[in-house]
Amino acid sequence: MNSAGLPGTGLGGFLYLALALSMPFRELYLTLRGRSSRDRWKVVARQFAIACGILAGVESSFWLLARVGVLPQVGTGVFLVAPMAFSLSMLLAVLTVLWAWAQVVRLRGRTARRVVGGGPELVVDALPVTVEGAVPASDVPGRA
Amino acid sequence: MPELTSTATAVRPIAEMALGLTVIIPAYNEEASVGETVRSVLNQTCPPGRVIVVDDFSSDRTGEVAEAAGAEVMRPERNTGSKAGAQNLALAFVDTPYTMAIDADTTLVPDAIETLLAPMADPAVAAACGFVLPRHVGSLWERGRYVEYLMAFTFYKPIQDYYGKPMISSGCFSAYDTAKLKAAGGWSERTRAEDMDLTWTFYTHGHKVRFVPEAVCYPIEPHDFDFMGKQLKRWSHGFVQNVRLHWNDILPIPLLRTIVGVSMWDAVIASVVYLVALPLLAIIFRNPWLLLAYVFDLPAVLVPVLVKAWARGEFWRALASVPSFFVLRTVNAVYMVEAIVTEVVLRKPLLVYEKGH
Repeated sequence: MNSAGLPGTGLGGFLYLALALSMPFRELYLTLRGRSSRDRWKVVARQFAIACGILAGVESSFWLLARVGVLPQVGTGVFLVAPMAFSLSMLLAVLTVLWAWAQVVRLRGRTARRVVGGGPELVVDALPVTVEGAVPASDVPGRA
Repeated sequence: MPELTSTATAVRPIAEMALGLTVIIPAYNEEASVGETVRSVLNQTCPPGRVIVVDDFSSDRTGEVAEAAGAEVMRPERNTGSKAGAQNLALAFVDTPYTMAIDADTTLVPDAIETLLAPMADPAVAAACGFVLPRHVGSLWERGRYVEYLMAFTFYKPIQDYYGKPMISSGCFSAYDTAKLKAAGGWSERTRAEDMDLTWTFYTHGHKVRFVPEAVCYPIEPHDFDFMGKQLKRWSHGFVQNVRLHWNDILPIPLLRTIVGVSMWDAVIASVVYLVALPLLAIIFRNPWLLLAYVFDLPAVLVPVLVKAWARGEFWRALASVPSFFVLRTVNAVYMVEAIVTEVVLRKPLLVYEKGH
C-alpha cells in the first residue's frame, strides 16, 4: 500500500506543507556545511514551489468564496493566517504528545513487540513447491 | 535523500548490479496480465539476472503464460494464502545480492530497474521504491486512485525521502538488499500490509529506504467498488495492524513517529469529520454551504496533482479525475472507521488476504 487509502489531508497535509517550507532552510544549513548538492537543491526548489502554490491556491479560493458571499469579507492573508495558526497549534500539540509518549516508553524500556492476530512470522518453508525452470539456490537446505 | 559526506561511496555499474538482481512476481490467476509484466521486466535497459514468477496455485494459465514470456515459474502444491506467502517461497531460492518485488499486474517504464537500483549501491539502503500510477484511468475508482497517487508521489513521498523516511516502500514495485530482506524475515504475513510492515522493520533495524520518482510503474488498480472495497479493507486493516505492531519500536524514530502518528490522527479525525460532523452540522445549522468543507483542501490537492499531470501531458485527465478523488477519500474514511473499530475496539483482526482484483 501507499500513502493513498488514508482519509484526510488535514493535519497530515499541514505537516507536509510545513516540512516542504522548511526544506530551503535545512538545505542552506547543509550547504554551508558542504553536505549539499545541485540535485538536492532541485528537489528542495520543486517541493518548496509546490508548497507555495498550495498556499496561494488556498488563499485564492477562500478569497473567491468571500467574493461570492459564502465567507465573510476580510483582509488579504487572513484566510491563510487563521487556519494556519490553528493547524500549527494542533500539530504542535500532537507532536508534543508523540514526543512525551516516546520519552515514557524509553524510560520504561519497553521493547516487547505486540503481535497482531497471531499470524505466522514467516512461512518460507511452509509449503512444498514444484519448480519449473528455476535453479534453486545452493545455500537453501533441502532444496538444492 | 542522502546528504553528501566526505566518505566517497564506490559506485558499482548499474548493469552489473542488475545481473545480481532477482525479480519475484507473485501471481494468482493473473493470466491476463502476467505476460506483459514479465516482458516489461525482461525488456528493461538493465535486465535482471533472474525473473521468478510464483504461480500461487492459480486455476487459470498463469504459469504457462509467464513461462512463455520468459520467466522461471515456481508453483506450490497449494495456494499460500497471501502475496507475502508466495513471495517468501521464491525468496528462499534467491542467491543474488538484490531482490525486487513486482506485482503480476504491474508494468514498468523501460529504465525503471536501472533508476531504482541506483540508490541500492549505498550499503545502508535496504529498500527503494518507485513512482506508482494506475495503468488504466477510466472508472470513478481508478480516477480517484490516480489523483491519490499523483498527489502522494509528487508531494508527500519526495518530502519523506528528503528527510530520510519514506513511509512505505510500495509492495507493487520495490528493490531490496537481499541480505537485509532475509534478515528481516522476508515478507511477514502477520499483517495485511506486508510492504508497510517490512519498511518499518527496516527502519527499526537502522536501515535506509529510498524513493526514486524516475522509476515509474503502472499497476492495474481496482476498477469497481467490489474490488476497491477489498483493497481498501486490506489497506486500512493493514495500517491499523502495523501501527499496533510497530508503535513502540518506531516511537524512538522522530520523523517516522511523526508521520505515522499524524497519519493515524488524520485517519481518525478526518473519518469522524467526513462521516459524522459535516453532515450533522449542515443539518443542525440548515446550511448546505457547510458541505463545502468536504472539498476545503481542493487547492492543496490540485496544485501537486496538476503540476505532475502537466509534466506528463495528462493535465485534462487529472483535472477531470479530481472529483473522483473526493468520493474515494470519503469511502476511505468508511473503511478506516471499520478497521479501527474492528481491530482496536472489537479486537478482531483481519486475517484473510483478499486480492484487489
